[in-house]
Amino acid sequence: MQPDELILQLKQKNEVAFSQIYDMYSENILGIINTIVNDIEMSEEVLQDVFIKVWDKSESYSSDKGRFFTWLLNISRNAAIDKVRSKAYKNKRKNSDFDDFSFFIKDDKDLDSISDGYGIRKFVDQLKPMCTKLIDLLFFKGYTQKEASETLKIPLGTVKSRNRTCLNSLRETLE
Amino acid sequence: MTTKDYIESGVLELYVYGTLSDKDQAQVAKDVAKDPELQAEVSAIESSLLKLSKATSAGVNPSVKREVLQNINQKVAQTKPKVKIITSNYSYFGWAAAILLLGGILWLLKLNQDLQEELQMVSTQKEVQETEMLVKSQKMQNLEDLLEKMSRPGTRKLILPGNQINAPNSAVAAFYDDESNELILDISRLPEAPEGMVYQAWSLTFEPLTPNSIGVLEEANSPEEQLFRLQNIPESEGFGITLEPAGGSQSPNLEQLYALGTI
Repeated sequence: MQPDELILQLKQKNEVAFSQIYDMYSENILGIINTIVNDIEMSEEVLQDVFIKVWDKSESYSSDKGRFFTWLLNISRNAAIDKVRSKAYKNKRKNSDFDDFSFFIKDDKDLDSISDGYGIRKFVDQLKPMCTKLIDLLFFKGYTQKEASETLKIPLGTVKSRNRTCLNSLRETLE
Repeated sequence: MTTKDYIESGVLELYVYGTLSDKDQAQVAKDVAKDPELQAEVSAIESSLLKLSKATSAGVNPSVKREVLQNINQKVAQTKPKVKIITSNYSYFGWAAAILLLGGILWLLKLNQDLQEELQMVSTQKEVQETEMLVKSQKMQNLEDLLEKMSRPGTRKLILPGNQINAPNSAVAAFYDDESNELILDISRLPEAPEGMVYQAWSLTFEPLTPNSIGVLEEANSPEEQLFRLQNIPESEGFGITLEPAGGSQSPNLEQLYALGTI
């Protein structure tokens, strides 16, 4: 699942491997960034910065610390949050008319039935509001369990297991 | 905790999200590495998250990739060939320095050779001059000696008047010391001896007239060579000078008498 060979080549500053990794993850990363930034133009700027960082800091990734995707997620969320805090963002900022990631997911009728996104809309629509919130805060925004429990006012001890239950329904939909 | 419990706890989801503490993240990574069942679960979670996050993307503008790759390319170009350029620059500098050094050495060798030659020339000139100087100083010494002889109290100065026929209006000065039997003749007023002929000096005693050759005055061509010092002069009453064939004669040719004087 994880492209270990490509990652190794990336760490050796192989441009072809980098290009392949960009193709594999750029859509995911843009999705994550845009749920935080909510401005496609600025999200693309962040995406660019993220991949330049991936190139520059590829040596710092180690599979001992976790998944490569997780490493990308952390870089992306941090870059997106930095952007949101920037003066340029505050000057341009529109009134936020979205709550969570579900806002960005297209209708199935806009998608090919073989597309990866197909069926996700249906899943998200059936998702309990609490599940949408949990996945949004923990996965997309990178909140800790404690932060999520405080924001959603649910007991800290239930965050992990509730999140699992929510995500399992997605897996069932996709399988 | 069993593998099933581990999976059911929901910690693997948070592990893939990357929202655990660094310590927990490292611990889960360690646990997952040891257990294939956990690895499969992590892969499944990651797979569904990739689909979910991709569904939120509005579609990446291809220009973003172009810009990213351009940027990376510049970084690569800035690092790799920069090193190359530096090394090649250094090697150019190295060659240039080597050529300059070689040129410098050749120039110095040439300069050294030129100087050696000049020194050689100068020292040869010096030797020549020293030799000339030695010759001159010897001549000077001779002249000084002659002068000293001439000025001795015992030396008598005689004038040998020129013969009326052969050398009118000329005379030969003679300085005679009968104690050391030395005679100095100054023939500078006589005409130059013709080719193949020499002046010969004679000692004379009268009654009967007996001439004795006292020397052939050769090499009397230059003014400096016109002073002759003659030794072992026999007892004389007079001196004569005749022109004789080169090498001199046994007896004087009186027809070619040029100067004659008595003591």
